[in-house]
Amino acid sequence: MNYGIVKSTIITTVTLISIVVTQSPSYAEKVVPIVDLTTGALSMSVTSITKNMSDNNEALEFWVFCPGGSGGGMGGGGMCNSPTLPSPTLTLTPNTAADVTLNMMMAPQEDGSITMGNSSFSNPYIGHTIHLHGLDMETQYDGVPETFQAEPVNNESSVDLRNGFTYKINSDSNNIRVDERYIGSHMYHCHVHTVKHLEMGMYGGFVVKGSGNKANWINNSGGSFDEEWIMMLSTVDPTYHSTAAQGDSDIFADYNPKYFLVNGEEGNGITINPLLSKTIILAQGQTKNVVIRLMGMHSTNAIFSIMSGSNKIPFTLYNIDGFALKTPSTETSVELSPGQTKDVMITLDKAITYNPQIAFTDLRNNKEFNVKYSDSKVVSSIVKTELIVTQN
Amino acid sequence: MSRLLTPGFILGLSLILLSACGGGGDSGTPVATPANEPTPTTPPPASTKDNYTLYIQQDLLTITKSPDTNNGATTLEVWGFSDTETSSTENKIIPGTTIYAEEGKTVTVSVKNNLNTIHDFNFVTLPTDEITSSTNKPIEVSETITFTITPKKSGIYLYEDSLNNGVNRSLGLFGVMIVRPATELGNLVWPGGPGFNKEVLWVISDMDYPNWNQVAINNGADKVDTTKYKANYFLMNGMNGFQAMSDDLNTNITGNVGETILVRIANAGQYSQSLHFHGSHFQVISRNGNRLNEFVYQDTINMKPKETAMVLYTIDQVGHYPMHVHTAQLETGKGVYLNGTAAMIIGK
Repeated sequence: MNYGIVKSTIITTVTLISIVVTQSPSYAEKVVPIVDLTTGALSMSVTSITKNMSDNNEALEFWVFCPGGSGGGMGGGGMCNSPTLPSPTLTLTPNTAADVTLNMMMAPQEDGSITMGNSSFSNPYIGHTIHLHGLDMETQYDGVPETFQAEPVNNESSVDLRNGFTYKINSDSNNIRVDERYIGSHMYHCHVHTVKHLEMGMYGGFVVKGSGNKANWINNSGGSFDEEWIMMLSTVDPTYHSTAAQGDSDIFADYNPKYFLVNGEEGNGITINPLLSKTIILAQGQTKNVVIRLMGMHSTNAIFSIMSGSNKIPFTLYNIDGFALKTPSTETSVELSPGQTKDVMITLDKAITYNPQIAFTDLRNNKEFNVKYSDSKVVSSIVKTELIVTQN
Repeated sequence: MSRLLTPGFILGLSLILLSACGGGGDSGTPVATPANEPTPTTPPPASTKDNYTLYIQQDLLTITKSPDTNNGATTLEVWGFSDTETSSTENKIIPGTTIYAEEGKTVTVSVKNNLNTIHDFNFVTLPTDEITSSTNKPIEVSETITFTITPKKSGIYLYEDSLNNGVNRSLGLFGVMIVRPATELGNLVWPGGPGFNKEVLWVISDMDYPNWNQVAINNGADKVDTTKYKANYFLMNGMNGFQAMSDDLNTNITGNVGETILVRIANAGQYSQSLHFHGSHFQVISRNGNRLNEFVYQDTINMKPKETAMVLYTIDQVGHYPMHVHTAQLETGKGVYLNGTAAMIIGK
């Protein structure tokens, strides 16, 4: 197992927003750890982090997976290694065995007993799991506590999945699932009380990469890329982050998204968050293909497009939910719903600035949100990012 | 969900084997067939009825509790297109009676209004030349209007009461018509299209019970403030999540490894619902009546309000897997987890 902060544009690793190659000192970097599962087993723990959001520095607690360590309850980082939101991106090549162990020691979680009205009950939603979303794992390794006991394997029927577990990918003779068909973008997340735990931030990307001469293919049929840009979408209703939001609660019947995130960062309305900026250098006469991996862990609808000024720039849609389209399609916008991934490609051939953007939209009318902040400022749900192309 | 492993499942599976079969054949545009197209192994469906009568009724819908927390049990007042004028205790009022038809054959649907306000009967996507009478014609109190339908194209069609800006539909006045090809073509989705072994129907919906249902029933549907809608119940085939996940007969995907299940989906609600299947990717073969020239593998499909789709799910491994809405707050019923939109996938 190999993890660490990745800043390069090496195509055999996955780097989150933003991969600033060089010559852009005014931009900060938002990088998320990359964990290459092909190099060995991975142990992950859960810790809590606090983020100050844009409305009057509203402090919200998030729970995230982090490599190594022994968890970090009580609001601390514990022994986790540089926890991030979203959690680290995991990568794997087809037919390669990998074990991912969830270590629950000191993990932040829901309370064991919940009071609802005048009565208290034991909370069935304690603990955490890892669901490898899109990898079609067998029941035993699917990370769903409610179905886990239905298919006891290896006499593990007495195991409570939520207390920690080792998820075997391609390492069980009955469990060879991640083959070449899966080259593309997937995700992972906790599957305990998902209405709470997804909101709390328990998700990350999972990218199946080609191997050998397919190392930089967008899927098993081709589509070679030079650069990667992951966009993990999520939404935040602060009320869901309160301690009152546990177990069964009326809070979960009233979702009011206030913050709209790409890679854990707010878009600041329609201005550019410098953490969501990426610079790509082209040599004279050079073109580069950039794959943008869209990953949906949000709870609204969303529309992706690439703008240049007021123009929509065409791009090519290659994969949906990590599976290749037989015929890649040219699009000027695509929708991304909760739980979906889409891999798109754009070819850069001149020095201009592109604005890949996400418009988070409501479930009823598919219209953008306008959220009123405490100072009466109204903030749009459009998250605009920046892809700066320069030539040297 | 583990508690759903009851002897009833075995019975349900047996009944599905007996009852769930598809038809196949129409004059539609031939499309590419998937490489793993199954060989139909079950007999063609039983012949469809020629006449249906739907009663616009008010009834009670039972929401059952979570077996994990004992929370969530309640009873909701709803409307529906029922196949009986007597009150049902079996949650049969939502969705409305499913109309089964065959391509090119005529079926008559008589709709009687047993409520005390005007309603209508309207198909969302059915071409107007395939149905007689104006489907937007108001059905007065106690009036019965008979519609004659001769569908040309296999698929799934959503019908609704279109009045009051969605309020009537939201209270439960919706259902679907399933059009199958001629029975002699066997289990093909449409002529020249893919085959399947079994089929299930998922009609999903949502309700803002306090602000829409209760206002409409107590004060009138025209008194609902339709600029606001906050759904707090999310239903699968008119059932809360725990009921639906126990419904092996009509809702859950069950079958042997290698079998392909045709899933017909309609969203009769006001919200988009992003449905995520565990266990295997599926192929989307049609959207809103449009047959896709290229079938697309997905594990999640977003269903916007009033949309329909058909997907093929091939069971390729043994196990128990959930299908659930991934729009997380829609997994609940008034905040009770797993009591929202869900079903089970069981491979044997």
